[in-house]
Amino acid sequence: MSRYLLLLPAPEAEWADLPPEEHEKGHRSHGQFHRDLAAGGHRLIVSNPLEPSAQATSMRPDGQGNAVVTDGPFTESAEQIAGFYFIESDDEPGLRAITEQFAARGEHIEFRKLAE
Amino acid sequence: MTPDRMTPRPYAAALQDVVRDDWGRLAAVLTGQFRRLDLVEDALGDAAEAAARRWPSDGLPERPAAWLLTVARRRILDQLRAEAMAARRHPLLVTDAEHRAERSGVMADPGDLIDDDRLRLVLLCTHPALGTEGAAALALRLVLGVSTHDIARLFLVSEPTMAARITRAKKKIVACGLPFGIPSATALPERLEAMAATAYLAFTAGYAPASGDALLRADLSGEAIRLVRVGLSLRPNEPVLVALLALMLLQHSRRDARLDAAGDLVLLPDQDRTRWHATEIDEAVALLTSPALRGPITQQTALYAVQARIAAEHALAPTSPATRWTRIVALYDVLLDLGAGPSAALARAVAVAEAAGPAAGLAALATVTLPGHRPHAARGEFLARLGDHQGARAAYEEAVALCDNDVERRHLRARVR
Repeated sequence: MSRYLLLLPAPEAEWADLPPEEHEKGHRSHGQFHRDLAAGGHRLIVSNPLEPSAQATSMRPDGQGNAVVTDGPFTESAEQIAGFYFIESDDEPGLRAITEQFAARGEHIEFRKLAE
Repeated sequence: MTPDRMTPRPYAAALQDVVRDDWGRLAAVLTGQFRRLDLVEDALGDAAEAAARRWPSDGLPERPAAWLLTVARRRILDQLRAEAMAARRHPLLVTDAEHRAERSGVMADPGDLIDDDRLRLVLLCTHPALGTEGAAALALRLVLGVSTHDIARLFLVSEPTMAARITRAKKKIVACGLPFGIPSATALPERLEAMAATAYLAFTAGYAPASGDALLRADLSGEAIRLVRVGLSLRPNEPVLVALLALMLLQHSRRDARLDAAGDLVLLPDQDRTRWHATEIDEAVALLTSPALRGPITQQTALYAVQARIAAEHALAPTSPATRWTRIVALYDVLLDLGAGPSAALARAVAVAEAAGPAAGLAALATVTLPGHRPHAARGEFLARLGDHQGARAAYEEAVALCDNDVERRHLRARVR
């Protein structure tokens, strides 16, 4: 049994401006992925959208024993992690296959396996 | 909460306000303290009764909610004492409870503690073990303080039946030892989905009664919206609650236009759109662009969101003929892909008839497996539009025979002629 973290990077500024058709495509696609997970016997531990990265807080050492705390994401980039799936599975090839289909439907996905 | 003492409002109104605004908070505090849900509601009910009796002579207390809490707390302690005596046990339990009550003070708990308790209470009342109907009734009663009389009216059962149902639900909580706690991060989303399903059941109960002569009891459906708002105040941006609130607001925004002066049903195309509540529509449309709905959302959330988008298409069409039926058909396709049931298939057939004509509608209807009068009513409508008046009459008559709601039946009879 291994665990996998599927990160979903997306150009987050656009979402609210996208036409509703794109929103629906997303809804259909995520709903499909949930069903594929269940059908393939993969266990969804938790999944959630994240608040916009503008609401993130980044913390790093200041080199003198304290922390520098700044508003915003750690790295500035157009694409930020907008959500994630945390999954447990015995069947990595199966999980990869349905995740690829998920990506083909329009989702950006970073597939990460937890180090064992 | 803060009545103006110079110009006291009628006591009944003040009491109504505090029940409406603070009932769930008080129930949560008491449940947190005593862990005896079975005693909490009766104690609060007794306290409200005492307030109705005493405020007119004693004057409005400075903090009405705190007053209710104190009285209710005393009732629970009395009850616990009586139980302890009955069991001939040393009343250690009571003493312990008394100490706890003293320690926490009157309404002195910091806000977040109470909010945690409220979330616990909402989740407890909507626990899947209770069954959705029992959970819906209990949540309305305990979280929102809706009277048993009104809840009975919402679910179209007698008041004693509803009182018994609520009591059963409370007993089940105590008997099964359902926890007054917040589930782990992995279990919480499922419980919030159960809560959403509970709220939606209560909402639709107000709109789609199976019998009786009141087509909608929209004021009571509004209470279910309030339940979702309580959930959202505790878990802002929770996808399933965001999508559900949007859906409910859109459906609810049409309540004033659904019946005419005679109490007859007015169908969507004939409704006076100026009577739709624009602020609710605006709020719902904004919710649908929320980032909470962009990412991994569950099937249930997606179902609510897509239904809300269909409702939004209607809400935003300036006139009935300007409705974008092709888009609505596409949305129903998404909905059916997501696993929606046969009533969505029927609604899709109606949309197809609008987008592509009654013959296409009939073809779409052929695969609909929904029982009841509605498919027959739709078939009657399509046949009438095709000029097959004999076929239409037969379909409408079949629909009338199967319909058990007075208002809808009256509407269908008018079509037969």
